[in-house]
Amino acid sequence: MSEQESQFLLILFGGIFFSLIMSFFVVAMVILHRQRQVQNRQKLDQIKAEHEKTLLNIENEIQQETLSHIGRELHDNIGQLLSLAKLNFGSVKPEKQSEGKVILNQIIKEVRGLSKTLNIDWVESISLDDFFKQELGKIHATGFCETSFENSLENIELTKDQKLVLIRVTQECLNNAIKHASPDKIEVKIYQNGKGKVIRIIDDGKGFDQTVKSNGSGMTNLKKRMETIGGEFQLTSFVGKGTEIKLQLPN
Amino acid sequence: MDQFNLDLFFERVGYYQWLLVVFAIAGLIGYSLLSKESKKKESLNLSIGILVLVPLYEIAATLLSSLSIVNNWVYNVFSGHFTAILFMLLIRSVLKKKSHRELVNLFIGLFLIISLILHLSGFVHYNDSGEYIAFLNTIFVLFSCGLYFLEFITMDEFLAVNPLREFSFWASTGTLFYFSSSFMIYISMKYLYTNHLGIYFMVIEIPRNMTLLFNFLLCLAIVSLPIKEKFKLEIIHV
Repeated sequence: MSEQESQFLLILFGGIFFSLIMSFFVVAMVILHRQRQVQNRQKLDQIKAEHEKTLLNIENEIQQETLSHIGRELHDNIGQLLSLAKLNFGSVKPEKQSEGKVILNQIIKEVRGLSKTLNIDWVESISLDDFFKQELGKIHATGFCETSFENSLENIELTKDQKLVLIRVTQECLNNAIKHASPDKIEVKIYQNGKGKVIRIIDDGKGFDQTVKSNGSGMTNLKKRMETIGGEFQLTSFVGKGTEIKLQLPN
Repeated sequence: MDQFNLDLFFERVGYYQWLLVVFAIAGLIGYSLLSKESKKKESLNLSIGILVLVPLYEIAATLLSSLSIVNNWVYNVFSGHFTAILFMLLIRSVLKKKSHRELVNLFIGLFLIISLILHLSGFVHYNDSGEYIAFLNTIFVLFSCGLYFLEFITMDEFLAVNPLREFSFWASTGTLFYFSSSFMIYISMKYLYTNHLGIYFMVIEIPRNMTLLFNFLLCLAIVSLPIKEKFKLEIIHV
């Protein structure tokens, strides 16, 4: 074999080897990329499953809250009205009879209202404005404390998921205020800032020391729930100066 | 200078030059059919720049050689500098991170400064075989390709991409293949031409065919957009 032929073969095999290396490189890049895609898809599926689980938990809690509310209403409100109606119908006086009819109509109206709330679809149909008015109205009706509501936004459009989370978080915040703060007044304000829509729940109750670690995971859960809808949960409280909760929704 | 001899010129123009011209014309036609929005894409503008520049300087070099004029300066200036910079800009256009894009700008700046110093100091001549400039531009181009592949396997932005149908992947891969396969040939060109002419004519086909393949890829990328708009068929994603 002449020198030129051997050099030709060397170049040929060198070229084939080089082509193989390059092909291996491309294949390795594609395989690495596909592996990352699979891992990412698994992560996304996991996050999606957690998100759906969170929403399911929220729906269950709303249902439970609703059932507790219905139980309280049946006992405190409708039960009392039924007893009053029984007394009135038991009287022979015609004015008591007509009073009893009025009370009966009121009972029918209350029961209809309660039955509507048993269906979780009320979340979809209710606006945020009406929901806050309803919740604050309930608190005010008990005589527990004063309430006020300010909304500077018209037609707040939210997805079903966002509404579910906001309703649950708000219910928890209001329940916590009633349970722990003993406020004279609870205010709710809705407005727009640079980042998006803001809901502020302010009470003038006892307040608490934020630096002291809590045994419960309530605040952490509320924060996580807001994060599932891309929102933020901020709490500020000082002893003797009340508590302010700020729920930030993205644009 | 010999009398202008077109016969010799056409004798020397082979499949290589003809294919480069065909790809350039197809690319120009495809580019003219693009919408205004598509024409704003940096990668497409650089692709058409490479597609047009390469046949221009190859034909110019062939013409000069048919007139017995030393044509090394054509390759040194256009291939060694302009085209190498266009390749680096093409890689830069597909990079996602700002810091990496700035790094490529630095590479281009360094390349030009070092080349200027080498020329002004007389270490290299504009009409020499260009091995030092080839060495320099290959290093910077390969580093730029490395930045792309680093982003490709680490950044989440690339997760939604199908690499087998992605122009940026094939452009970077093509650039990497072309420069790494041509590197040893260009830096040993003077030696091979002087001592082993047979081997020189053999190995010079490698960068030529790599150039043809790469120009075909660029042409396909440009032409695929009007095909996608008209026939709703995506050959390669730009």
